[in-house]
Amino acid sequence: MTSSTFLNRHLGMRHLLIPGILILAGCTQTLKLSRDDSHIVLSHQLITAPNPGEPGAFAVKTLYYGSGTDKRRAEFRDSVAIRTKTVDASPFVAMTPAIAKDREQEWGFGVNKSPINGRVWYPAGDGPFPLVLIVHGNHDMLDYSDPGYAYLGELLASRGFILVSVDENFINGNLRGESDGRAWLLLKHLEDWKRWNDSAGNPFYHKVDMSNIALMGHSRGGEAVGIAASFNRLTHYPDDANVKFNFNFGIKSVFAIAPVDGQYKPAGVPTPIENVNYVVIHGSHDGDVSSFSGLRAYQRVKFTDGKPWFKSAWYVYRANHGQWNSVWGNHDNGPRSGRSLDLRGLISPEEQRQFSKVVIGAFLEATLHGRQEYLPMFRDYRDVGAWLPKTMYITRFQESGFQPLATYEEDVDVTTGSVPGVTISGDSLATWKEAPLSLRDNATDLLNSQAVTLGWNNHIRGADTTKLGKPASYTLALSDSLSAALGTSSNSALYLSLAPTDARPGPRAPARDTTKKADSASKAPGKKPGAKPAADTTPVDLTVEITDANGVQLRTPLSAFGVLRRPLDVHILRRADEEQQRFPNQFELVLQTYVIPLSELVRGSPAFDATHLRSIRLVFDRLMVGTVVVDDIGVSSKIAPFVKLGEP
Amino acid sequence: MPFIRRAVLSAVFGTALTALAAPVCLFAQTRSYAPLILRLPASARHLSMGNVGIASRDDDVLFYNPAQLVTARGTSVSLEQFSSTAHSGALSSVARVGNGGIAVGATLAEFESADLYYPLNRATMLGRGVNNGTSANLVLGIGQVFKGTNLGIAAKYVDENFANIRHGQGALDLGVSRSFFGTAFGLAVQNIGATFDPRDATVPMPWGSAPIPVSSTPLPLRTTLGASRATQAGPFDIYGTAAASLLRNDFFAPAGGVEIGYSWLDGYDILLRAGARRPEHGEGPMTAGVGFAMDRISIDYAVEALSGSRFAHRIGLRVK
Repeated sequence: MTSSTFLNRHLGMRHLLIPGILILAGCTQTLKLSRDDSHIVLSHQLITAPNPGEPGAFAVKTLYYGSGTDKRRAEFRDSVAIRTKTVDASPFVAMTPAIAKDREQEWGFGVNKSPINGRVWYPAGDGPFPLVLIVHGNHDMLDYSDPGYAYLGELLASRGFILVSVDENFINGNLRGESDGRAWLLLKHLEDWKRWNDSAGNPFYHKVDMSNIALMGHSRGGEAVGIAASFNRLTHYPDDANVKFNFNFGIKSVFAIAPVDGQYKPAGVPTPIENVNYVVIHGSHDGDVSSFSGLRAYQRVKFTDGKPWFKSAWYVYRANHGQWNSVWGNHDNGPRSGRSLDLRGLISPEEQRQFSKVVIGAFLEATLHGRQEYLPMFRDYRDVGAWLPKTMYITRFQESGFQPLATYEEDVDVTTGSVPGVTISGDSLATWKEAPLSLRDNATDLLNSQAVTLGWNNHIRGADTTKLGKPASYTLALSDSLSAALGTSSNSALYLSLAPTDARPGPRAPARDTTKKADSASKAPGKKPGAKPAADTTPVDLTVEITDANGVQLRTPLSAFGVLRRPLDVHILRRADEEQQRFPNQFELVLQTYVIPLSELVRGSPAFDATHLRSIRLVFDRLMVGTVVVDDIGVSSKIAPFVKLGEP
Repeated sequence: MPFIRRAVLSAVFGTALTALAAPVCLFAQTRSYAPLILRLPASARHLSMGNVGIASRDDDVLFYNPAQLVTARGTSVSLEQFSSTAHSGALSSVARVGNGGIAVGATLAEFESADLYYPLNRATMLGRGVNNGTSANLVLGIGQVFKGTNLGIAAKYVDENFANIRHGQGALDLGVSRSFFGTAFGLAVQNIGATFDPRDATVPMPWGSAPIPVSSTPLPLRTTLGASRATQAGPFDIYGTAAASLLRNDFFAPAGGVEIGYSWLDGYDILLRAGARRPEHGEGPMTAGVGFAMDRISIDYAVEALSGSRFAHRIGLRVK
């Protein structure tokens, strides 16, 4: 009997076969990625310093320190070069008695006897070397996470840093709200390091530069490093003042890798982070922390002491959560998450780690070694196209010289700026509204930042679709007193953060001719029901126009200072229905920061008086229809270290 | 707790092996109970695992242990063909009530038999004959949590028609269940009730047919203690269950089964099942089945060995 005859005869199975195959094969959505432009955007390399992602000149040594009694971790039991005392983390790490009992059985110790375990990569040399601590986040507690940063340890030690990968696996697993415990443990590690640096006979005696410390953390560890920077300055634990702090370490830099945010809130408020250099990175295809939560922490970083700090955020297209750690890999939700996560769009682990090596290396070189030549890449990543893996990036940036003109946080009056003396006006805008930004995970998951949405359509409604009106514009006018107070010069820079959206306002109404009756022919053509407009692929651009007190104008396309892209498609799940159910948006609206050095504009117009800015105007004359979200318009007079002459 | 996991899996396989090794000669001890419907399987998934459902989380656990209604969800229907003239079906649905669940369900069997003995059993219901019969069971169950322990009760009304016999009456199931270290344990006492006595409810036989002698028979009281546990092994989801039942006449019936699931895409699963039981009269020792789950919908198929190298087939559809 042939197989088809067999099927025909048995229960009509031939008819079931085709839908069966469709059910089995047709369940995964097609791979959807935004068109890659990295071959153009990353085609320049303007910074000539050595690649910070490449090994340096130091020979690398390693050792372990720890309790020496660890039941599960042989390296922290049998191989420790320095024995450490356990600490009582119970005020910070809450758990039920049943969980505590289980964990004590599993680990051989309770959280009240938490070990101070670390694996160290350090340069062979006299030092003193800056100290960098990195801490993992939550993961299967028995799939130990701390070895996963060895690639950073090798790199950074060879470049003259001491890197410690901190073991906090014993508080991984089924705990919540323990990020403060992760942070406090980091600070307890620093206490030991300070003691070793002061103790003759210790391998690190006088080898550690305790005034140059960086904290790095991944996932929950990424939140913990911000908390640690905050705790470092406090005298008491905010949630129990009976617990006293006395840290005050020289933490200069904080680096957060795909962090969560808000799992711990000191005294019920978001963790304040002040007066440190701060970088946060996040992958668009993060299958665990699936929205850019670290942007909230970025927004909260404040510079209040007048010292030269900066902060930067990097959104890395097609990067995920786990590949920053070589143990975690690409299954962001556990070994079985390949069933739900679409892994096809990810960049390779090597590319993802190359990115972190470059950005972490440059950040630490710039902030702990004082290598200022790396600073411009945080203002404009296009300066280092040869170093970065070929994918797309969106970056935020701000340094401590930033003076806000319009951040949209202060009131509900759309015509006022963030400081007295700023008057805002719009001309021919189809959309002009201020609203909170939200993260893609949930429309109600706010970024704690207001922004303005500006939409325009320069076409005049009517039969003649080529008829254009005056370009729409949005203007910040500065008063004389404010202009003088800003203290700008040709060495200053103009800031704005902006993201185009896919919204397309309809054509504007024609100017009313009062001598004629209303003409029905000029009405907008009827909208075809159900017709879905094709995706707009026209490049987005606009003109930035600044005017001085004498009325001299300078104009530049914004695209000269950064890439303008419509939202990048983000599909992390294999099933389209689950994706749409879980995420209101199939993109994350991340604003790109554009920093426009006035020196670049003034070079061809010596008559322009950069000391007296009168207005900043966005003119929507390069794209006839579009919508952008704009935030953080301001100026800075301290931008010089971040400027590399010769824009890409 | 690896040692507990090992212990539970050992218990599951041990029970299954005991079931296979048990002497088949004890069949006869289990034949004289009525009504028949209380001795038939009521779930395709459970049937394929030795007809063990004592610690299940499916809605048709209503027919096995009402205490598990606390965790059970869904609606299901299943049909079984024992022979060309003998069929049964089951329908059940659970709804959430407070911190527990309430369920309603029904099972129905139709059959023929030439047998002149009553009550029928699983062997005598399979043949062709002049006497038609139906046996039905309507159940309302509720499960609630009390101090961390699930307690359940199910009230049943059973009715059987066969030849000149027509009788119905009530019965009760009681159940208790609790999880320890990730393993669900259940204990159920089923078919508590008065003797099934149709002597006052006979009807006249058609002209020329001989009436069947009627006698009272006890309900098939069954006390079952069992457990289930789910675990993972590489890409597979493993579910094991085992139970030991004690029937009214001290017949001891261990049974157990294993389900191996594989998912290649979130929400889609293929499931293979196998089970073994110490057979009661008319049953064979082996059961098996397959399932396919697509999000909240699953389709199950089970086959059970019957005595005399015969097989019965059951299909089920479940919506969770």
